[in-house]
Amino acid sequence: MSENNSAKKGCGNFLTGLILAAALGAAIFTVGKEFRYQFNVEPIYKGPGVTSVKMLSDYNPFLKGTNGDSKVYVLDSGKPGGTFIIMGGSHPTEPGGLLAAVLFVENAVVTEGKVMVVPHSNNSGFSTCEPGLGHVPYFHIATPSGKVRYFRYGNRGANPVDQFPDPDMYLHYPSGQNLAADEIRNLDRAHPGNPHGLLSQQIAYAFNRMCWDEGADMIIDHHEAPPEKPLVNAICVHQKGIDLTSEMALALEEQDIKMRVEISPIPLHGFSHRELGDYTPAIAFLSETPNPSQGSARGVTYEELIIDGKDEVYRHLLEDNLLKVDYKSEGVTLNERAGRNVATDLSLAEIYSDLGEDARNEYGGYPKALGELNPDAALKIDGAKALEMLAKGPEGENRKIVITNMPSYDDIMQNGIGRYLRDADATAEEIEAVKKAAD
Amino acid sequence: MAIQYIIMKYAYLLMVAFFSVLFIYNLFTQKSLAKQIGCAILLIPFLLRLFLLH
Repeated sequence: MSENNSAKKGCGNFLTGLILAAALGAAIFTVGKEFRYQFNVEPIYKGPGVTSVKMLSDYNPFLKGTNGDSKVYVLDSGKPGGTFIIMGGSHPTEPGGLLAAVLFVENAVVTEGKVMVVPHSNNSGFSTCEPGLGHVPYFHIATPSGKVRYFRYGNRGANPVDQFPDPDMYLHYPSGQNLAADEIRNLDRAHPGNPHGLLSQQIAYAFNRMCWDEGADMIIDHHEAPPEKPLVNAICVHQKGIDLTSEMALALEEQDIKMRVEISPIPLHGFSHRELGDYTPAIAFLSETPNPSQGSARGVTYEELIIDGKDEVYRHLLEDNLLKVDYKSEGVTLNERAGRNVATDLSLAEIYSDLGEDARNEYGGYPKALGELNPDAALKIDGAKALEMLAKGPEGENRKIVITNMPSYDDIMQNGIGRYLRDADATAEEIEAVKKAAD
Repeated sequence: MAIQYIIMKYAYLLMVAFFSVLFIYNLFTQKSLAKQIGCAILLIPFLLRLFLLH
């Protein structure tokens, strides 16, 4: 009996193994090729103002070779002035922030001070979509030459393959605050970062270091939110920048852009507007625009929803007075959302330059045990010195940041965002011409 | 930190590679076709992890 059974089972041999191995190889090659394609980062072309390109791993070497490393575009005037860091793509489901950052890289020319732009702040999140939400993985925008650029619509958090598994509960470092488990992959809950932490905390730590190493005056984190959430068409600011932001909101009102000012809640940890303000000399901001394509009330999610921002379900909710926040029946286009971010950044730079020393509000709410709590030990700055630098801000008389050659909000609304996207890096002649015009 | 990093990155990959070799060995030496198919299926996540997600 047992001999019969073993005779039946014994139909496998080296040849069947070889056939199975070949089939396995073909399957892995085909699936793997498609899978690897997700990790490609869309091209961003260097505009006339880009003077060098750094990496986040220049600020936190542990990011080198990981999916969290990302390009930092430096637009340096070569003249004394302040430093402004612009973060796009903290949440890769929020393309308005990404596109605004791309517009700065591909157009801006800085004539005083320095601007540093990170379009893919959470690079890991761009390599995957959020499961179960039916998002489209890519969206496309035509440029003036007729070519079509693609952009990735990713995951709100980091890719789980880079940081797995999520714990049952996320305890934020260094505050110890409890957060939902999947927030451990959320870059905007990982600040001020941890050089010994998981990937998101490592990325956050790179921004922390960047603020110190570059002597950043301001850092803004571009975000979008579902239209049903209260924090849309708003800017959240650390206590150090209340006056500056209030003036910015008034300046935007003159351009018919309504931007509500919210003060960063002190006990709410992990956010860029809270922690980068508390743990670095920079004034930290976070801007929000409404994005129907990430809202939970949305209908079917097509690529058009990302770009046109027009959703039937939201329109019905608006008509039935069920939406308490700003949403227009004609939709909220990507042009408008990116344009708002661009106008906000330009206005902040201009007003910061005008106000000079008065731009910074006094703030004494820093964590008491700064030297013990923050990754300051790794920063090699003693607690007292760090507190002094945080209170005073970066040193130097001239902290102006002057940005030119950028389209205004009206330009973007009128001509569309594609008009200001490039097909190739700026040529030497173009750089020369733009710099002459800027001077 | 450096030791922890090396363990996380390379020791893990070494373990995945070790089990992959065992399954590949079984794939060619098993006399049962069902077990060979089982080996091939088991190898999929191991090889994906080894070649694509490291």
